[in-house]
Amino acid sequence: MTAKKKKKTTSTVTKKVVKNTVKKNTHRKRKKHRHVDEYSQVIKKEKPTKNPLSPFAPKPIKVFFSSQLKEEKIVLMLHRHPVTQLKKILVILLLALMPIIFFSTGMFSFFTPPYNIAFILGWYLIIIGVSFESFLVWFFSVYIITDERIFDVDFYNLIQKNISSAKIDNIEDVTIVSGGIASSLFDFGTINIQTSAEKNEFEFELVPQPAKVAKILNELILEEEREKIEGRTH
Amino acid sequence: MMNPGEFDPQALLLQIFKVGFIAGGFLYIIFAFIIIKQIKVMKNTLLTSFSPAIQLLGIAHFIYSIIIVIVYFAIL
Repeated sequence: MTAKKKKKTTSTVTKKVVKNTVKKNTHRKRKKHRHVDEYSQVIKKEKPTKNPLSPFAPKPIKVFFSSQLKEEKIVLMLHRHPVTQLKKILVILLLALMPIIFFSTGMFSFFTPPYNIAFILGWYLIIIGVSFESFLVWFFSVYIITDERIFDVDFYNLIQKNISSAKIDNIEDVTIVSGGIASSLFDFGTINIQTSAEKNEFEFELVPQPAKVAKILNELILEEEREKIEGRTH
Repeated sequence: MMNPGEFDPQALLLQIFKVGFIAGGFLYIIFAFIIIKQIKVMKNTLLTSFSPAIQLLGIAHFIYSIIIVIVYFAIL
């Protein structure tokens, strides 16, 4: 009888221990997903960006992308450094000056005044179109780092686009490639990210402050590992 | 002074340019329309506080191209 009682007490204790462990684990799983400011020293120092034109935009306000998940937060949005667009700007400025050269050299001397007006209007219309198209390609080609994934949105021109993404925990290696006078002067470079995802190489081309971006990525990778260990994966 | 019926190379050249300007204008309208459509696609991919302004710029660009073609018809 006593042995039976003892057995019963032991099984009740075991049940209680199991119940508590399950409770603890459930509590752990339900533990809130940490905000990026809680684990990233770099992002913590940065203020949220309101300007969507900023090439380095930490915690951008009012920015959303198509495949963004409900709980996913954008940590950093990057455009190519504006200095890299200087070549295009110079070409456009040169094209804008061309009518002066055309008319001063008498290339279109056979044009009557209405044709001169038509030519100038048409020429500047094309320049506006080319500038606008270049701006659109620059503005919408972004690199996005969220607290869960990285995104590479490439618009090569108005028709061709390429969007790829990878989970932060699939990142295997982050390399900064930077060289040349301009990149040292204006602090921009390319970040190569090796992943174990379907697309195994991501290139954040000519982005500003590459060292800072790499540091943020490393902090995010560490946090993902911490989440796995602590059972905070979701 | 040219006699009537005589071949005028300048007039012919101007006629060719006239057709070129107007045809180019129409092609440009198509290009401006594609830009508006593309902005819509781009906006669906990435939405920012600047997106409505970009869409407005696209529409303004499209209207400007239509005005240019109308001006071409009027002055050429």
